[in-house]
Amino acid sequence: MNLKKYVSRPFLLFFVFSIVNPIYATGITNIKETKVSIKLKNARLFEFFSNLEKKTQHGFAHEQYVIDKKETYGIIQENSSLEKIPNKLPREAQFHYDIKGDSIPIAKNNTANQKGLQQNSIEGIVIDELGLPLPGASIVEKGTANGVTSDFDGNYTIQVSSSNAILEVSYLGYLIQNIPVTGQSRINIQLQPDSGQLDEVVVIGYGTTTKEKFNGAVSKIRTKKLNSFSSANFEQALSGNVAGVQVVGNGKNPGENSVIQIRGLNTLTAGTNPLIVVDGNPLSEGSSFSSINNQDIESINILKDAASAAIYGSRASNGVILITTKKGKQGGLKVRYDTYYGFQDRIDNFQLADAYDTALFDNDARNFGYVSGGPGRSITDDNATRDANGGGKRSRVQGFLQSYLDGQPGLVNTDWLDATFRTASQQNHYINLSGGTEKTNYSVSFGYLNQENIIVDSDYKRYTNNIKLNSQISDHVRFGITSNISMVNSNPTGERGWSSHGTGAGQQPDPSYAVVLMHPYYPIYNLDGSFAIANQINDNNDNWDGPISENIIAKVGLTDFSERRFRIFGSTFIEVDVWDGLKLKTSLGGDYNTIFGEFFAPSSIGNYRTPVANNLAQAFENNTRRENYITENILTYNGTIGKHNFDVLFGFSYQEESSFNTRLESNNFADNNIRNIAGATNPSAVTRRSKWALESYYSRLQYDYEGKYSLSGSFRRDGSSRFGSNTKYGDFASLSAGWTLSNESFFPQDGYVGFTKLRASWGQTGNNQIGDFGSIALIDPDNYVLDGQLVPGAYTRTSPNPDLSWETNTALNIGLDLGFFQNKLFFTAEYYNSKTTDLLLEVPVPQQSGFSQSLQNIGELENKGFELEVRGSNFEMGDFSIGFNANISTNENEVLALGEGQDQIIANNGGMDFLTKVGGSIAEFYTYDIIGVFKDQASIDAATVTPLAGTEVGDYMVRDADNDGEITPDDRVTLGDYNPDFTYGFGFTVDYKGFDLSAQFTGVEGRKAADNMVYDAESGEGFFVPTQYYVDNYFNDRNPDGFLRRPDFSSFSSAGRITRASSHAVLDADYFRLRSLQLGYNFNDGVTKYMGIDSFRIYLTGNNIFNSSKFRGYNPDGLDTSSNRRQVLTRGWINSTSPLTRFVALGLNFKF
Amino acid sequence: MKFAKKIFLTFIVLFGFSSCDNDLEIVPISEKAANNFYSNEQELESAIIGVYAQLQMRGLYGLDLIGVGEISGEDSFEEIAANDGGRFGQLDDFSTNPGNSLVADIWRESYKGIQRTNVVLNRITAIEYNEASLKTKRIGEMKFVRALLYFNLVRLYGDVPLVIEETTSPFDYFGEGRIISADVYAQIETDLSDAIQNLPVEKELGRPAKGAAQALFGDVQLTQGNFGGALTSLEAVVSSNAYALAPSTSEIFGVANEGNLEILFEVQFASGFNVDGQLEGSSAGSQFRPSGTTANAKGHNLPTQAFIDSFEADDTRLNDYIGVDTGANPFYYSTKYEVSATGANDGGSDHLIIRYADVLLKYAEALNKIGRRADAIEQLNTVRLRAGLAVTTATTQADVELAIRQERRFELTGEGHRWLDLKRYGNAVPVMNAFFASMGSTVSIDDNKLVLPIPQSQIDTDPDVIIQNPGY
Repeated sequence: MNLKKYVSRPFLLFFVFSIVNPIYATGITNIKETKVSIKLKNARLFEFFSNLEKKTQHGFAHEQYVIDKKETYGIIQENSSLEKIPNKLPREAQFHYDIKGDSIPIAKNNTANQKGLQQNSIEGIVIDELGLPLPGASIVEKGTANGVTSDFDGNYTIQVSSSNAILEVSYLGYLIQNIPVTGQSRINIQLQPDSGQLDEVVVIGYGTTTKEKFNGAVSKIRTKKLNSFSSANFEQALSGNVAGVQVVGNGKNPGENSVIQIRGLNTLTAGTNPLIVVDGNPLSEGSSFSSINNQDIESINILKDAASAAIYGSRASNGVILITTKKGKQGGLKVRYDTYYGFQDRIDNFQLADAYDTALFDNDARNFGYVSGGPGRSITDDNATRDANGGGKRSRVQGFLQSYLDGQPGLVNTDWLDATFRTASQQNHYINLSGGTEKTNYSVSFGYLNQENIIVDSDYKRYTNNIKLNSQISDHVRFGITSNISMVNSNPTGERGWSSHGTGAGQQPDPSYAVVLMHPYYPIYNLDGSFAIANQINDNNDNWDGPISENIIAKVGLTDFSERRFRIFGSTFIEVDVWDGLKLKTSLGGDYNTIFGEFFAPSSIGNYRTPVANNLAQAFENNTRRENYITENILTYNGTIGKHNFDVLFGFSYQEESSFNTRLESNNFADNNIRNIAGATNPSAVTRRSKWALESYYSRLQYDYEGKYSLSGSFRRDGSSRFGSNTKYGDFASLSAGWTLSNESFFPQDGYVGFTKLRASWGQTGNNQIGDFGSIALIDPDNYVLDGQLVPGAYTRTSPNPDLSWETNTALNIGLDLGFFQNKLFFTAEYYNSKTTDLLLEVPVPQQSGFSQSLQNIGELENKGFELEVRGSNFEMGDFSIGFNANISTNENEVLALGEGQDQIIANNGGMDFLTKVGGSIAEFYTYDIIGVFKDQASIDAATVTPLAGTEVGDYMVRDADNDGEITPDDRVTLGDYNPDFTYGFGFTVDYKGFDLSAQFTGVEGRKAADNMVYDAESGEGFFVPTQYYVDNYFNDRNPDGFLRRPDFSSFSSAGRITRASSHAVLDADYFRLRSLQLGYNFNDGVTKYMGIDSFRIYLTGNNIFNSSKFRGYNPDGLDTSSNRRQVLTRGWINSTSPLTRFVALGLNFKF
Repeated sequence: MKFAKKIFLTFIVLFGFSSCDNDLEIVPISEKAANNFYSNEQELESAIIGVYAQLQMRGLYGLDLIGVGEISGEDSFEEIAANDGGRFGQLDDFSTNPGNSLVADIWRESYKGIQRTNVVLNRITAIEYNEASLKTKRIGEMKFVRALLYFNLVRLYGDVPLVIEETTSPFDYFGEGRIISADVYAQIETDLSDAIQNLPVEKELGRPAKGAAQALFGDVQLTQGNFGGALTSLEAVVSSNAYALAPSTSEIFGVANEGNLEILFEVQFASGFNVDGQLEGSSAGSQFRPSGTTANAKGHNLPTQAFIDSFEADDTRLNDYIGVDTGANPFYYSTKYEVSATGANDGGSDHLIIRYADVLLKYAEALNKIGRRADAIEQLNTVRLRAGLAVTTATTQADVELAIRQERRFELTGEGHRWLDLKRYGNAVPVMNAFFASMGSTVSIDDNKLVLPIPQSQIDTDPDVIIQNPGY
């Protein structure tokens, strides 16, 4: 059986037809691949080397024979990598060298001596971790100078002196392997990447550099880490893996973005999105991350400090994330196929009471509400008496309640949470074809993800395609094409729809949110299996005035909600070598994105507070199109004068984005036959268009001396259409310096302490995420009817601000890199301090101005923190190879100034106040501190502190924080915020023979959050189904020690209303999770050879296998992601989110 | 590579540096911008329409102003106190707290409306109108609306900030506190005097004419105890003969009767319009219905049984103004607001802010105060006769006053007058306390409760100068 033969041909064919629009990947620059052009005729060997030395600034340690050799050679080589140069000289030159450090020892191929000895010939292939051939790997007989390099296809042949020899195989960026020959004649070698590697490429804005030259703070995630977390979005895989990076937000639907927050919040009301750059293409803010397939990503580099990000100017203050997709390597066609199939389940702590417990609660809530609602009322009054006393429907006790209270078995006891969530399957397929010649490389991939939502009746299918092609079309000209296509067909669930189904935003049915309104006394299905429609809604409408909600499971079952997305983004470049070291590159990129969504709800089901009989069919259709293009021109020069190395860059770019949106809505349907807007008469249409443009000039100088001292500076000037006419342009500069101590001659070379570097950087970045026309006073329509005719009206919606400008973030970063044991153990420590000035602040203003908020550049904010990362790799213990990592980061923010004459902003969400005050941190919970419950009238009357007006028995006792003997709004206290004191993560990998095991843990400490659903369900209001926690802990006759307010359905006291948002609603949102766990097995050569493939791995993977948290809601990470803006001042209020899930899958990787 | 080729390619690439046609001056594409708006008659006219449109807001005549005027009084109650965050329920037992959303909405929407009038008044002087008389009239309309909104504010909240300029920067208002109500009243009177001068006698649908301004002026004077002034203003309305009572109490309200002669000023609503999700209907119809009776019925503002019981026999208004939800325990509701056929919160009934019956009764009130009792009785009887009732039996000044006050309850029920009337009479506290006592309730109020609390959000925004009313 030879799979390769049968499989690769059709693939190849497919590949050939599918190349339409390919990319460029940033070139790797390490010593081995240092490009050099050399042109010599009749040169002796030492001349050749001194020439090479001059050109590359790398020393060649040579022996006398190099000088002695009299023969002359001719060599003309354009832009060849340093490692390949020896191959270009005739064999008679008899030398090789092995690049290991800055100084390259040249050894003589001592063929003469070996002639007489017994020779063992060994051949094989060297491959990388993906099974792709590694050309240029060094294979040396250990303890001798005898060595060869692998050829273009990774093949090598070496003659060793004995069958007991040991081969030392090395390749830059990979772990060195020692392989005993033990009589074999064919040895295939797979190298594993060296995560402790130092000369690793650091991808930076508009280029790459090395760790020695780079002075900023960057975190890098490799493909392997990314794929240990299975999600449609790459950002989920970052969580817990990177110091200083938090991933918050947890959308209801697969493929929804989370918010990546780098080093705290640097803004109060502007956007908090970091800039995402894919293969050099800056994506527009709010781009869907899910249009990038995780598996297409080679690496993610996160620029955390301002100096590194400053080259991206006005868009960089939330950090910059550089994504590099996979590119092909030299060698024949390599095919890789990955697949997994798994299941997802909810594992959160949100628990609602069942019907019997809800009945206890309802009984209390209705009785208390009735009795406290007026004089002369008794708990023993029957419903007729209650009606006669003007109690209203909410004072009645449901007729069926008594049988629940009596504990009669077998009553309807619907578990709506259970009906809402399911074990959701997820399958993924990914095929990658790649390869290349010396001049051209390519990579093409296809991905398919089919993910069921854990919320019923919702799913997500994604198709992706990534093509990348780079080619050296002539000696001085290169071009590249990259394209990324994604297509999504999904059936989303609504977002935060209570139990309504309307055409507005957030009004589509959302069972996960509406579940707090679904009473367990009513069934989901009729006996015949059809949906039980109208039970709860009609019963409550007619009799009890509980939640007049339709069966939410029926609603999602009977409504149609679908979305189709298509996106293609990519770029093409051409680069010309103008002169020695001087390059000119021009590129054109584009991003075309369309979203089509539609919704239909028939009239055959009820709507919130609207029973079926009164209901209308509703539908919308939403069309969005976004077009973005960027043109970029970059001039680079790298040169060397003596030991001084320079990299200089000048660039210009122009980017423009236009967006178009049309939305049709109607509730005008003759019947339910046509299930889309086409069935409507006179749908209303809304059309919106917007546009922005950004013009930028930038430059950077990088300098280093002998790899010891490095200096870097950058400058960018951005002009944006978003800002006021007086402030269109902004300037952003950065400076950084580094000292690589370990390259100093005085540094001990004892092998214990390795790479050591001290670095500092300073830079300025901006934030321009304020919407497109924030500086202009906009006129909005506000129409009126006169005599039944619509008359157009207008008003000024926003206040003008011609001075509106960038937020400027100025940040300092100090870092230390420290390696031990040949850098197997590596520490990175960072300290940062950033200050945001000219805060873009949407501040509440005095309303007599006619406005509620105004967008201004005022205020100052400081963020500071420490980050520590430790990585260990390749600790060998027998057959075990062990690696580990750990990180911890802190962030502290402080508001330094707000608007003129303003020292605090109190923002409110859902009744909860948040205080942002000068001297404090952003959005601290600001509410009443509860110290007990008033259990009888006597204790209210006897209270030494005057309680809140309208306090009744069962209401909360509030702490008199200001000690003035009276509870007033001044007694609100700060109770922490959403920003954790610290976040941490740690993990390990163990390899043993063919097995590999990896685990990653993560946690946050010192975070507070309030959850809207918990808040409602624990308010004591009879409207909501209570949480089990509330039922167990509210004050009542059965539970006189209860510490939560007593329930009340109809006559909630004013004090009870105010204290709904109180310290009880501020929840501990810390957690500790086993974020990912993976166990894999690589089948040995015997198996793979039989199958005719290069490698075959099977693995079991799991996400969130273990979770420890006291948080009572779905997910403490679940900040609202639908609107990133304007959430900062009430951060920590979790409106609606999806539960934390556990995912377990079985996966396979094939390479051939 | 050949040198020439290299140079050529370099130039092609360099061309990229210069070939862009860049523009950073991007103006809104699907929205209008203020810097080039308000520049001609047509645009000013739509800004004026925007002023009227603001009156439709739920925080104003779409719901809240009606609710606060009724539920605070004794004739109307909230079916479910806890509903909608207790925004109406708290009015019922005077437990209104500063975080109440109705308190915040009335404040915010009033000032937004005031700002819209300020914008028009600031800009209109520089704009040339085809007919100068129309411009004069529009100025009158805007001053009328501004006066109306301030009159509401000052009655509901007491001292309030006073702004009569177009806002250039909202930040200018930090540090600007509440102005004593006498000064606010002075501005209201100035605006109304101007409006009376500028407005013509003939009424245009949906817009105030001279009569509306005179009637409002009369109300303002009456509220301040200036009975003589009020008499003059109200008499001017009556003697203009521009308005008349509708022939019967069934021909005043409802979509079918829009534009009838009794109406001096109304906010227009219509159902079935939906432009950009913006409805032109009123939510009063659905929300002021007993819960469960129609889509989005909330049981806000329902007439009490006691009030229903106090109607005189044969009063046509019981049937024409009040509906009943016949259940085990009947709930009543005002039929002055219709329910929409096209969905919840989209009722088509106009809200009548000033109508002639109200003017006549206020006129009677002023006449009686000034001692012209016979004239007062005559005006009162006009209203009573239309309702199918006999002439009043009251004869003494005190009895006539009482009779007029009673008549207002029945005639104007559900229109948001009762609480403001009680405050004008100066007996709100004793009336309400007597009412609570009669209900066996422990609630009792003092003068502090005559005004609403200032929204907590406004105090939080500018805590140094926006000071809470006492008692909250």
